[in-house]
Amino acid sequence: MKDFIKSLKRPGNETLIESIVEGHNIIFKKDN
Amino acid sequence: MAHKRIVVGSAGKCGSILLEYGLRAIRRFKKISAHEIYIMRTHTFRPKYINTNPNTIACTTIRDLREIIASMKRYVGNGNAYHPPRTSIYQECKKKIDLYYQWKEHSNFEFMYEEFIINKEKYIKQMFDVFNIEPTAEDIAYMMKHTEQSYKTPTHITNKEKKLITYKDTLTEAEIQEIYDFVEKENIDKDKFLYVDKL
Repeated sequence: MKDFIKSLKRPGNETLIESIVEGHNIIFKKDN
Repeated sequence: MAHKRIVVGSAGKCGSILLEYGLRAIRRFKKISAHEIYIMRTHTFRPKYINTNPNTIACTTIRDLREIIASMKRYVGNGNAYHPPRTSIYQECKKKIDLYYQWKEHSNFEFMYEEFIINKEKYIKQMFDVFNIEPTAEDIAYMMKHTEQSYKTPTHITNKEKKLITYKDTLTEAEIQEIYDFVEKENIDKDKFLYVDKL
């Protein structure tokens, strides 16, 4: 996951990264 | 206190990115923490997306069926592209409609892609409703400007000029007829799924 996010890091992708991280957290973590 | 969760659940090519990214922009602009309100977008339906947090607000989006299929045909990629003969227009329409009804049943808010083009201010006010915020003139002005930008990759956004009716330029007569056949056979709401006809 970390590598995937790193590969996306470039200007203009901020909201996309935010979106992926939050979706991932909702699906795989319990405390949200 | 439990976090609030906003879930955008819909089929692809119905304006879900427009809605999700718009909600994210509002959250940022109103300085609401991402830990206070989580936002997610999905093209599948899983009960756990809404059942695991009692403070979940679900939103769904829909679009004129002909425009969905036209957008899929224009799209160059795998996820949401229409690839005949691997799939038929009938199958694609069925998938979109079934997913829409699944989400609609659990949704607190319903958005219509065409509403964004016809009356953007009304659409933006509806997005603020999701947060239960009465938008100020400054809020509306910010979002009017924010939604001018393209939200995703150039290949994903296939209607950059945000034209209301594009299917006539994209689909063949036979493909359009297949959609009408689907609407007749499934007896679905023409006002909604053939929305642009009533304008």
